Amino acid sequence: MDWQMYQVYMDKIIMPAFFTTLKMLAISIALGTILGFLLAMVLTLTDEKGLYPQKWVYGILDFIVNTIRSFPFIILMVAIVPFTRLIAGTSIGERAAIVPLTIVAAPFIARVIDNSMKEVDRQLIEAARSFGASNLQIIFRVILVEAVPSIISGLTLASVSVLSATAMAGAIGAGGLGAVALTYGYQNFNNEIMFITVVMLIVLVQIIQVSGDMIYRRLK
Amino acid sequence: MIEITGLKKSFGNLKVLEDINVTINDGEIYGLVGRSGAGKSTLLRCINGLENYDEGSLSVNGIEVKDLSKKEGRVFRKNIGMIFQHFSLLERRTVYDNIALPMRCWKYSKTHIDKRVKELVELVGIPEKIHDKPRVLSGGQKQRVAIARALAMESRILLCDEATSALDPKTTQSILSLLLKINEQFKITMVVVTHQMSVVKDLCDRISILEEGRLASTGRVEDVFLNQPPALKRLLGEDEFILPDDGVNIKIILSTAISGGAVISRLSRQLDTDILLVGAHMERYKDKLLGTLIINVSKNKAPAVMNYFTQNKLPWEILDSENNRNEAFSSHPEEKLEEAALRALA
Repeated sequence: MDWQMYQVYMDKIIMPAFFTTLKMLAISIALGTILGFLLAMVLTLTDEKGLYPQKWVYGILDFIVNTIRSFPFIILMVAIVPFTRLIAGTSIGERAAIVPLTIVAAPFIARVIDNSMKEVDRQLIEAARSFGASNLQIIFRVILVEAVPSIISGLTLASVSVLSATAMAGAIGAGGLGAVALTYGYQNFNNEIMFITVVMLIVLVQIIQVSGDMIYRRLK
Repeated sequence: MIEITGLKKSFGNLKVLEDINVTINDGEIYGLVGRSGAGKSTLLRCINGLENYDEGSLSVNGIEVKDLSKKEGRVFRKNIGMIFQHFSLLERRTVYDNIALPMRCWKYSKTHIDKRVKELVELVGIPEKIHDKPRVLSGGQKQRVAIARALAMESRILLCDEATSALDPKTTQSILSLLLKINEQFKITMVVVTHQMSVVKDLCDRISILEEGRLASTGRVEDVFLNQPPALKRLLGEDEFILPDDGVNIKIILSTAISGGAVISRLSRQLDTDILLVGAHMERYKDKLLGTLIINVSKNKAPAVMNYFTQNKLPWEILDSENNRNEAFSSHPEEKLEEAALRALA
């Protein structure tokens, strides 16, 4: 492969796809974190051992979270096309892909945050109650403060798995590195492009993991 | 004052607390002792409303805890400090932030918080650790932070839930003397849940022994340890002394204040007789050294020995061995030996 061809591949195909992937990943993780955080709040509060036990609310939310998490992503994406169209106005492209990606990220992140919050020492929560802290104060001044490092490592995990979902989204026209690998590598037998995409994905995962670990250690 | 009358609580079918009656006076250090599962921690949590009770009454300074609404309960708990076995500190925040936490929750001003935190670290003796995180502190230092946090809201009552159980004996002693200092300085009422006898003896004024949710014994620490009620013996897991059948077994209660020194060796020299030591038990209760001593002397020397004790104002009584029943006979026939000893002390 000559250098000029390589330049063209990079400029016209791979780099734009790389940024598309980054954009999908960043937006769906951001939205997923907001949604997941709210879900986790409700789950933690309404849990049987939580500060405000509500059996039914917890049961229903827990069921929904588990249901979404049990879908293979590619099926989920196809199954919710009408909903995607309703929200994004289209079912093709990165804008459309963000909808199923967020829907998959939110329950995952909710579980991660919920677990991190449940791991906080129960006696510490009791200590906070003993000096009269309110439920909200216990969540924001005690539980979340202690759970932050573990939430960060959970978000790192979520980012990596959402990244692999973006590649799958490429299969039904989302664009990004996954789409490039499928179109050029799988359908056109272009091994160079295939190879470059794979390397870029590996590097991306490494960067996410290493920076996640670094933040975790800094916060711990 | 904390007044508990006829308190009952059960988890489902399991009765955790049954007919508890305890009165804890202001400024007193009160011990709740018993094996794990005896209900002592549950009782402690009823005092600040972290647990509810089913029946009976528990009032703190005239406020019935059961009747408080959620909001009132929070305000009520504000003035009751609590410390725990595993310290329960925010591991990711500094000592300063940990002590400031209750005051921040109650929206005190920054200047007040700053002043109070600095006072408190001085009081608990760790001013140099103020900006450290709990991770770098020893167990004793962590408990000092927890004590400072519990006192931050000017609490009048401090609840201690196995506060020294995770500490080594030396550190335990230093925490106990800190608690004593705080009790003396601020006249704070303390309710102490523990299974450690050293804590009971060095810290508490009065105790209640709980067994399976019931009050098995209650009283001043000295009295309980002198009377050795069955509940205490079960708690300590001690065997009773096995008494010889020959001769006469005499039990005396000693205190340095009464005897003024080596009673037995003086007795032995004076009466020129052999004395067999059957059992002995010496304990320090706060500042008093008290002990139980059981000796065995031959039958013909017994009257002289009893006479000697009476002359030296030492309360004594004759014990029955399993196969040798004596007439109940003591220096103070109208009262119990322990009562006589305490009266002699006073």
